[in-house]
Amino acid sequence: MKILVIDNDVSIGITIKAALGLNASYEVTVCLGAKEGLEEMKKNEYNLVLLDFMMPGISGVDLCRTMVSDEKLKNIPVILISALPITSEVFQQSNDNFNQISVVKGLLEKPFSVAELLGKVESVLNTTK
Amino acid sequence: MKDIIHFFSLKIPRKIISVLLFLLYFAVVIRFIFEYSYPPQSYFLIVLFSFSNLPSALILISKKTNQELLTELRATEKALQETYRHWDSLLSLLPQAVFGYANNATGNILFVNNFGIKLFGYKDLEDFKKMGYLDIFDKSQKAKIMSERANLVEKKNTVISEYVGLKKDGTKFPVALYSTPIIDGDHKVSGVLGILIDLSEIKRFKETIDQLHSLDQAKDDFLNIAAHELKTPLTSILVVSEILKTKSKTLGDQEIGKEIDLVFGEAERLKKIVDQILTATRFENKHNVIKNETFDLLALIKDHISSLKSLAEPRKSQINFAITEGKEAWVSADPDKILEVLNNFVDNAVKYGTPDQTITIKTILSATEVKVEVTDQGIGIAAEKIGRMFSKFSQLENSLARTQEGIGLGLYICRLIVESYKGRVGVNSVVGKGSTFYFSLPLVKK
Repeated sequence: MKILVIDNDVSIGITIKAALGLNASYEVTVCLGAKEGLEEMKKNEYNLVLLDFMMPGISGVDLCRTMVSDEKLKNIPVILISALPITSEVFQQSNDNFNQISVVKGLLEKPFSVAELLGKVESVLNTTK
Repeated sequence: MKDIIHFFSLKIPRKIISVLLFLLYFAVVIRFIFEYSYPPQSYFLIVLFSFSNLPSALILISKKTNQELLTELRATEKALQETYRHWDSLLSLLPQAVFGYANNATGNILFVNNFGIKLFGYKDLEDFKKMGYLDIFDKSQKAKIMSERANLVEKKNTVISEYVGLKKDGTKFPVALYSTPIIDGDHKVSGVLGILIDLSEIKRFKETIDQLHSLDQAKDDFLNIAAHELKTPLTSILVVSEILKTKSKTLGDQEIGKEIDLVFGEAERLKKIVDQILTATRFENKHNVIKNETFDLLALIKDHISSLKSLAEPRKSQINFAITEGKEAWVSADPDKILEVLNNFVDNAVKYGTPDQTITIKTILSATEVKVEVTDQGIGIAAEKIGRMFSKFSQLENSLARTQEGIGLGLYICRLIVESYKGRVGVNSVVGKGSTFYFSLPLVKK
């Protein structure tokens, strides 16, 4: 399973890569910006993208919208990650219902445990197989 | 004039004379009608005559004597004077300026109460009466005053406006003025009655309150941002230390394992604090979604007896359950949140109570609500602190003397949760004996 992590925070990239590394079947690549991430997705095929909600320049939500309009990328499932209350309905409604974008398959609020991260990744991979 | 008349040796009240004269008059006229006309005309004429004269007869008969009138007049005058005195003393008692002024170009002050004289810094009533209505306000207010007075005279309604008052010594101060027209017998506005309230203090209070509100908001915003900023590095510490924990176990290095446990444990503690701050600030900014489920609160507590008991184990405390038997208590709330409240109460009871104590969880069912009480055998809470128990950062007040961890948001969050489901929280305490924390929720239909 090829997983792409897009987060401008270097530590989060390393952390997620280390945690996902506990499962030997995951092959993790980290990109530090939306632009690089988009290029990487186009270059190589990925089974899942873990995406930071808020990034300088192109945000995670912007990137999701770009993916939806791209034939090649619109079927890659995305898990949005944020320190903001992204699982709260009020928050979703005040942010254009980003959770309803078709590529968004999961939401993860920081801080999360190893088990929560692995569980979320596994369940999204299972449902989109 | 005398009311008794001496007729030979008889004493006759004057009133009777008018009655007798009337009867004589009636008798003469009726006799006359009988004499010069025949039935049925005579009967008709008699009836007509009687009825047409009856009102004037009654007035004359019931007419009061001058003496009576005079006594009545005096009584009325006395009552009026008394009422006037009452009003006058009431007016001088009023902690607001009350005054009247004439409806003319200068607006001469007609009267003013003691408070008004003092408020504007005048010597006495005569001193104040030298002023026109316009002189007791700042010059900048003239146009506004004139236009509003014109409006008042025209519409004859009570008007409330804010002006800048002017004291004798030139001090300006904010006032609220209630004015109502004095309308004379010809329905003309002869003057205006005003009640004037000094707003200086109220304005000062309002400014202070506004400042405090914006400070509170700024503090919440700061906390919110700080908490969010903490979450990202916290994620790395938590996840990486958790990975290291597993790795140290596989490597069999006990020393490192212990240290990693410490890092992980402390990161978890930090996470709890961040969560508390965010819950509190999100609740205030209404970002928290309220989940409503209808469930039996008694059953929920019974289902969690063992997990509640486990909270007391570290300090060897016992928990005694007194849950209402054979009844149900259906409430509408989020069961997870309500459990959070109960856990918090029990956790506090364990932390602040003596070791080996017995904590009691008791439910009380009334017709409209269900109340859950958590009683400890702790040191109790001093009366002056009880009022702040459910406030934000209640622990910060005496931070050097505190004996337990925490930033004092736990009970505040409990209150926010319970109040969002229209319930109440509270605490009763006896110093040296223990405290009872309780929450109640309104009952709903199943």
